[in-house]
Amino acid sequence: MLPSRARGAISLLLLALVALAGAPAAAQLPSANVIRVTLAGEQPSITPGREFWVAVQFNMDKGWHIYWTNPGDSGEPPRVQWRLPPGFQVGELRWPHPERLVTKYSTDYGYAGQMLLLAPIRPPAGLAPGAKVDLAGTVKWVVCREVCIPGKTEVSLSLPVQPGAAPQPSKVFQDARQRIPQPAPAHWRARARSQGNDFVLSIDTGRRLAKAEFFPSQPQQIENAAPQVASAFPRGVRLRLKKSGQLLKPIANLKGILVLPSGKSYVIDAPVAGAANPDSRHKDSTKKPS
Amino acid sequence: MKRPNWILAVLAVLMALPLLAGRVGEPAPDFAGSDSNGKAHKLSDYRGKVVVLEWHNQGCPYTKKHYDTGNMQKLQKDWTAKGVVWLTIISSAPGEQGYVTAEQENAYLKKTNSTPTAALLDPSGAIGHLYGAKTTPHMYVISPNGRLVYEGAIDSKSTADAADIAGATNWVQAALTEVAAGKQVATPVTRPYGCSVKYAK
Repeated sequence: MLPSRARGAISLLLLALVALAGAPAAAQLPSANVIRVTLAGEQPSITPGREFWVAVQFNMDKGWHIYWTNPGDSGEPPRVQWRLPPGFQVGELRWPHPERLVTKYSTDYGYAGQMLLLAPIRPPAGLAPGAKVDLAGTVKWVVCREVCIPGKTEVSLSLPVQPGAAPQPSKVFQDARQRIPQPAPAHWRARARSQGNDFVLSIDTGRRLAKAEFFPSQPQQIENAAPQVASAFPRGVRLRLKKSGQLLKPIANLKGILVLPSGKSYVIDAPVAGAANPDSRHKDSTKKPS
Repeated sequence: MKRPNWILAVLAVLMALPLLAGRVGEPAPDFAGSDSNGKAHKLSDYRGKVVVLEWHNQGCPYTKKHYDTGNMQKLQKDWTAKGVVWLTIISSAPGEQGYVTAEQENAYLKKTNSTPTAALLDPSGAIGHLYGAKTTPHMYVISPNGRLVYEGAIDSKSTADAADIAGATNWVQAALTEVAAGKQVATPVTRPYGCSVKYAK
């Protein structure tokens, strides 16, 4: 009977995958089949003392995803441990803004398809021209679809030292930098109000905005799977966010990333006002109509 | 613009009330389920005892982190020896990853030297949804008087890396120790980490 045989084959495959994923030594084997991880540099060479960008590139097969720093309901963000020559300084990883990954089972914050995790590197000023520089690192990740597969690999990049080479911005890196959240413009005002089971996040940008998506940088503040209800007002946008069931205490600030329909993203830090604690809620509920 | 804010406030409070059930500090919702040996269990049968709920998926790398190292089995053994009731709960739906038959689960328990009080099969996801279990593992501790006193991760290092167990604070161990000593649980809620629970659609 074909259907049951097909089913058998599928479960065998799944079993094999699961078995492989569990064997620690073989953990990177099946993962390599669904995700490819490499290190790329923006410039073909290094100029002594001049900062340049590198990127850990994750290329995933369709259906697979990796995670943002706040992974949402499941998973964990990738980690990079650099091994650089003496005198080289690496900046913090610059995470592109994530997308909401709504699966059958959970709502995660992460990346599908391709993701570039950027970092700036400052080489020492006294590098000898013509020398080869090896940049390397260990990358660990968990990639998920119906199953999750942890992976780990060594990445490296070898670049020559060439003083005076003109910087050549690459399209891939420029696109990736566009996805890094920027500080919110100085004239923006972000505020949040605690309202029963919701937070109402209000972003005054100076102009009407019909839509926006909020990604909390801290877990346990909002319910990831709940829809974010956006409403425009003349000077911006309001988002109704359901509080996390794990939120037991009032929070002073709602921090995260606001992603606009244009694809631009900004870092938001909104002070929370309102009936966040039971005492003030009690007061509100007994207030007489005026 | 005048708006009757007090009406909204009253509504918000009223709406908040039913959703508070099943949260830490509140009574743990009762449930009934059948284990891998066909035996029926009800949470309310265990009144007077400390109960641990462990959401489980034997193929999930985060579950494997704690079983391949024997970390979970040790916790089970140490605490069931002290009278704690340990219910492993499997909410993967039929056809979904991590779904097991009773025989498969019993073979797994034997192979891994696991000794929960029972492994409950929850293919409908009813118990999982009742508790809002999000990940495997997702751990809950219920006090002898039936209140939920801990909910969240097994420990403080939210990775799939077995090497991280050694340096982690085990929140379940901490909660059980505090409950046994009649103390308040110092860290009652943490973010659960792991694979998503493979519920039916």
